Amino acid sequence: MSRWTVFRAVSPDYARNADFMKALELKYAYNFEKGKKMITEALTKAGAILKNGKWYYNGKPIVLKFFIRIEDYRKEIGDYVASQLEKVGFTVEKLYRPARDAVPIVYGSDPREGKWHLYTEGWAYTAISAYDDIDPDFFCTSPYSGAVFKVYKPPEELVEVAKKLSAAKYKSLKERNELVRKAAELALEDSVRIWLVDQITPFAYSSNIEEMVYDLYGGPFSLFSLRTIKFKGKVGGMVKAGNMRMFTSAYNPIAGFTWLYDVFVFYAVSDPTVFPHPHTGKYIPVRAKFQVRTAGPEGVLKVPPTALKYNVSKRKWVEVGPNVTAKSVVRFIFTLGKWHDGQPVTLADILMSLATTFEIATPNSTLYDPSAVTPTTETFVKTFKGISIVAGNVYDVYVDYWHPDKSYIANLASIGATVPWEVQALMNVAVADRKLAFSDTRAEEWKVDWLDLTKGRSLDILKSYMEKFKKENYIPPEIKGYVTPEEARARWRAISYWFDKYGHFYVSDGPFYIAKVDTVARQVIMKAFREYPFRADRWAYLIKPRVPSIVVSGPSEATLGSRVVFNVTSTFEGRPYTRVGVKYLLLSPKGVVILRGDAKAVGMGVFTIEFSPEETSKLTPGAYTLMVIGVGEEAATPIIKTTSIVFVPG
Amino acid sequence: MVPVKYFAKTVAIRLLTLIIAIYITVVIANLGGFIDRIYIGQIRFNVESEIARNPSFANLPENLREKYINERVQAIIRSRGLDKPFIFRSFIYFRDALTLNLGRALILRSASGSSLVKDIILERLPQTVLLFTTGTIISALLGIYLSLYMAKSAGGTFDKSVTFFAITTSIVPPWFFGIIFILIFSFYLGLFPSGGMFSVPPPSTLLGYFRDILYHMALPLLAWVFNGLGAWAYVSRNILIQVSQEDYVVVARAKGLPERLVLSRYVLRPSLPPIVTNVALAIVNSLTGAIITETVFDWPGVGRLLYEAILSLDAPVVIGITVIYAYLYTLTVLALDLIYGLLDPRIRSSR
Repeated sequence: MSRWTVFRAVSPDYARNADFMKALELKYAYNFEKGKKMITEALTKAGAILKNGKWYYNGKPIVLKFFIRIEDYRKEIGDYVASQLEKVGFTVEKLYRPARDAVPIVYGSDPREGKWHLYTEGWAYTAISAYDDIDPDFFCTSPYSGAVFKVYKPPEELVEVAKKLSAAKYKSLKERNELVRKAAELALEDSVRIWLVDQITPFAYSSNIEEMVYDLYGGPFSLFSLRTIKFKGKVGGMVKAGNMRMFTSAYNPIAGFTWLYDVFVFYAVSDPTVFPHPHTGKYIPVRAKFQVRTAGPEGVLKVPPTALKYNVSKRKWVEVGPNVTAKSVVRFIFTLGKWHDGQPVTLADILMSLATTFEIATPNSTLYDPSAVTPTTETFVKTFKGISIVAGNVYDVYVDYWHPDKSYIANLASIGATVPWEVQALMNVAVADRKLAFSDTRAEEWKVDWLDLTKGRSLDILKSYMEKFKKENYIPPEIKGYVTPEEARARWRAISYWFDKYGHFYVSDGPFYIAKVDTVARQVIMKAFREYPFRADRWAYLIKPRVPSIVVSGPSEATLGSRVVFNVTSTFEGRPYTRVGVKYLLLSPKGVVILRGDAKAVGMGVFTIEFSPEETSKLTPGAYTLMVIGVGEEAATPIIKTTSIVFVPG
Repeated sequence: MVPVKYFAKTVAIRLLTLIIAIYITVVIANLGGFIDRIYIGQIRFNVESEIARNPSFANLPENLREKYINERVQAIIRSRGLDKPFIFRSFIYFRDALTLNLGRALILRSASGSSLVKDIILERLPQTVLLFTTGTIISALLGIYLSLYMAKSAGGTFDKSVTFFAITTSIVPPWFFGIIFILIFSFYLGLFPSGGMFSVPPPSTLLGYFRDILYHMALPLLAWVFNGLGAWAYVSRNILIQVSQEDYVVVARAKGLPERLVLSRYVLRPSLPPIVTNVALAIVNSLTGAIITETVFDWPGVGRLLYEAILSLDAPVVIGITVIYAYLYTLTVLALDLIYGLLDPRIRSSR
């Protein structure tokens, strides 16, 4: 679909401000003659001359060096844009290049050298985000997205707005929305980057398979896609899912699964605590329900002195003590269930995982690996204030963090374990001994293998530790006091049995377990985990994005100065749908926005748009367009309907 | 007597060729050092994109964010050895290549997760040997067998037919036959899979596993043999005909020796050196696989590995494959030189 603004046309930010975005789009709608006039005025003023349809400056043709990527649709887009520029009078030097040739020049060279002037850039996304705070800064002002901004300084107002958004310097969603609108407007005025197309990811599947969940940004690359796959009219069966590549990154949950194609497997075998809703980008519970209590951006909550924090140097959990405060607390109510090897998931697993997070992020720790520390981890470590054990499966996590959306606070505070503590212990000791590394960067530095729980040399190394620990009935210091010797014995016995049976160490808690990893055939066989605590249809409600149908009805003709009312009905699957906001724009015969506002809810999924006699009396006679924009709360896809009305003199 | 001088000269020439070839490979695979710029630009771009677009970094002041980015970029640059000048590194690469210390890949990994070039190549080599070396041997043996009949009835219908077949099949690349065979035997008749090496999921028994590979190998093997067979027959036939016109063959026939004896002793034996040379070099060549044929059949061999390495500018892998090939090729040529030199005094004196 066409795109004008820095915010994607299916993004929640676009949806929240759909009326404003539409008005901007109308303002910047395709108008060749207008563009030509503006270019002509600017070039003439600069001293250029148009001769035989070509622009010249100082006797030489004005040449635009246009890097056109050739790997995808960008070639056609580049050709189209080039033809438009040539039509205006520019001489376009089309440089068809693959990424490896274009990227170093476009992103690596000094733009003042003039090696390039235009480039067909493209970006891919894998999961929807509810708040694209970074985009205006990244795309319109930041030197991180291209060398252009190391030289070109965008307007101060744009920089200010973009920085405010990227630094989350807002205190309410209302304030944030205003920043989003301003950023969209100023970015379009500046237009160092010109947005053309949002492409929806297509994917093919057998006609025997029913629809499955897809992410509004990432399509089938969603946590929920493989979890909702099933055959038509049949329970169970074997699904063969093709993948572009297999085994590109290591299978370890700390700093592995860095490639999209490997993430497919990760998503199927492990449950995150929370995960973004595939249609709204807001976080929803997966393994744990959550309740967020926050004191707001400026307020404080007291952390109980008995809450625990992890002491990295002592490798033990200690009480936080008195007078500790936090901005927010999130209560996680876990469905603990069982690991794939049949052992129960316990608090010890979660504490072990949490302790490892702190050790990886702390420079003096033997596990320290800066490349394994994601920005989210870093923020978590910096803002974590303590954990209170409320019950066996209920934990309060205190964080010095606030966000206008509570689900974002829950995400930041989320704790959980991807593998049992004994597997974590095997990984940790192998890394501490520098026999393996969590991240590929560390692996390169240490000249060792990237830790992989399912294949390669890692298996022998982990196996030798497992045999040793099994004999010793090892309990890691991080969880001493949280595991009994009997529990530890059962754990070591279970993992040993698991390894003998399946030949790998990837024990997790998701709906599927890894039954076989075949590196020669490049296949992973995953089977249903029958002790998984949730039903197979748990995510079925996400299969169909809840995008309502909007119907607009009203008069096709009215007199100036009269009261005009339009009715709008919103339904989903034939039933009235109330969780929708309806906005409208009234466009003049020339396409200019004359009036805009919110429709008034008058019943279950019924809205009215009313133009008062005073408003219509100010219009001039002619055919007007009413654009109605509906945005459901459960999907970030705006529904746009238009209808015409002719105003005649009274 | 062992011709020491000849041996020494031959070994020296081959080694010099090998050394020059390897250094040129090192320089070309690294694009004369230009690849560093590409890598460093790509590394910086990736790190900047990843960090700048991540909300968790949003609250960091710009100078700290830049510092963090620089540290990450430098760490990756150091870990990949890109912090040293290319000319310096080119000699390190050269030394490593010569000693077959192939090092670590920059981008690619073996399926089992190793970034050692040795592991990456060794993982693909068996598949390539299985398909292309087998195919080369089959087509060579069948071709040579046919060539005997062609030479025997040179100018006859059989000879002309096979010559026509040889010319038409050898000018068409094997991957083209591959596409035709896939259309006929896979899509139309449904007899064989259209690509890949295994069924999904692969059979669980060892025998089933092996049979599954053979089943998947049938079409690419057929395409490879179909393409090579005629050429082998035609080239060997020409060698045999050339030898059979030698004076000593004419004399042997004039003496009334049985034709079978003339063929085996006077024609086939002197024809063997060039044919064996061709076979030996073809087997070495087969170890590098075939990029397009492997792609058409989705066969995970060395050819596709080389292609992936070139596309991703993974110089150590490109160098690794080329160096192994150069070694095998040189050693084969050297061995053939030495054996022929030992067996045939004319070859020694011609040097």
